[in-house]
Amino acid sequence: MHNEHQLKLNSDEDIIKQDATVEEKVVDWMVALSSGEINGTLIQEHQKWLDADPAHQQAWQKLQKNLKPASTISASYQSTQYIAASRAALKTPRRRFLKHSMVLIGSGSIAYAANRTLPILEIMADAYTATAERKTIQLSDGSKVMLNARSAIDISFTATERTIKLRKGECIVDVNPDKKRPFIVETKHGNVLARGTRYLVKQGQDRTFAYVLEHHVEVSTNSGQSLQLRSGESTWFDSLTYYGVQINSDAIAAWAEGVLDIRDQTMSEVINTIRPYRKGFIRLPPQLQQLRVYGVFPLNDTDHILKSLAETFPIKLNYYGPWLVVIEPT
Amino acid sequence: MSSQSFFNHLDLHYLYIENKRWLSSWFQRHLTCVYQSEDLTQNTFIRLLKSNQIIHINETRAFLTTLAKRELYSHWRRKDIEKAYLDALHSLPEAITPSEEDMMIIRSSLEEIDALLNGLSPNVKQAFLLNRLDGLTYKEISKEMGYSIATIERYMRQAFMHCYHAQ
Repeated sequence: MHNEHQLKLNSDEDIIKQDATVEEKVVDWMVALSSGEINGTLIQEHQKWLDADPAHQQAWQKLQKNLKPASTISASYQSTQYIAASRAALKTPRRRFLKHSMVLIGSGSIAYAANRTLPILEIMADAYTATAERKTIQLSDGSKVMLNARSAIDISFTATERTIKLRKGECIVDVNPDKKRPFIVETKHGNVLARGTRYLVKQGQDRTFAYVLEHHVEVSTNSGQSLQLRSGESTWFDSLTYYGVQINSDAIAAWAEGVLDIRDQTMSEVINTIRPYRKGFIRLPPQLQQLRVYGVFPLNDTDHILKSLAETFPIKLNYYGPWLVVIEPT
Repeated sequence: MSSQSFFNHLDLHYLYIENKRWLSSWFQRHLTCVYQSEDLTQNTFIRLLKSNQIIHINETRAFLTTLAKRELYSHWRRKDIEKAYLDALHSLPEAITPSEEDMMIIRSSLEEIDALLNGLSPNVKQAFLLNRLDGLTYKEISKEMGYSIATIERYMRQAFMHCYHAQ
């Protein structure tokens, strides 16, 4: 592709031409970065392209902004049922109207009948949890998977491998030892592999968190970087690399017992932890995100957690109907 | 506030007072619920405000009727999508019913996505939704839909270009 910077803008035609190139390039980048198979070079190249011209930034942001409605559903309603139903609903054909009249021709009932027969089941996860729901799944090899709220997994066991694909959210796996078949939790950023142990994997938008409760595991990022973690150690990783090794306490896994055990975490981490337990949104302004929080709370009553936080911190809660809480400084 | 927009607002105010009842009864002829007709009347005035058009006094009602029709179509469209959504949820083996709060957010998100994708072919939509909602890779979408990866890429390119130009 030619270098747009060398284009001289001396007529309207040139401006249009340059615009067309930017918009095509933006789309090219979005196509490349949405494939699900990206590597470090691509990301660096993309960053370089963004930095090269404010117009690139602007066009990129425009596309991202326009794509936002689609992420509301996938980010807030992580249960695959909601997603499958959304997809089915969006296939509803438009009614057609006679010109100048309100008579309805498109037959709604036929459209609904067609929706019922869609292959919704094929794309459904094997197991999932809804908002504020936790679930333990017993696997055929004697291992167990505990799913935190708004999480979904696919289970795939073969003669050589036991794979749990964590589509969304967080799980703790209690692996029954099997020397021949390693146990793998796969996220969009990489794999966490073990032979017999207990560990926790949490998939975020941009990174995955892995924490070992017993023995050890091997983390490998999509780009091929790998790392051994031992009991009590954790790391965050994305497709490219991992971000250091931290020592954590089992408080991280306390959700399995329905308890939120917070020991010196930021307010923003705490709010992120309770989000899957609430319908609707919690908004936390940037200036409050770094407050340090301690405490033990029952996970099933998030209103109580928010109220306790409001009692101990200089914050107030504004409820806008049942589905939006805005936290504000007092 | 500039004097220009001040007059527009004032005009709109009178327009609203003079036509509100007439418009609401127009909606009532097409709907069963009184509250809905009031909501749609409000929405129609919001459309008017957004449309930023100069209206000639002698064609006010004709123009309002056009906007009202559009409002009614999108109301029906919302209903259709919501019904299809709930039908799809209920047809699943483990039926779940979203709470009213959830439905509020879902309804508005679905409406936005529907408007965003309006005009794209079913295949392009399908590929886009599998990628953006389900988070499937192109390879997985290609398997799911039975088309080559190159085709899926072409669909995605079409969808992103469409979204780029969406208002």
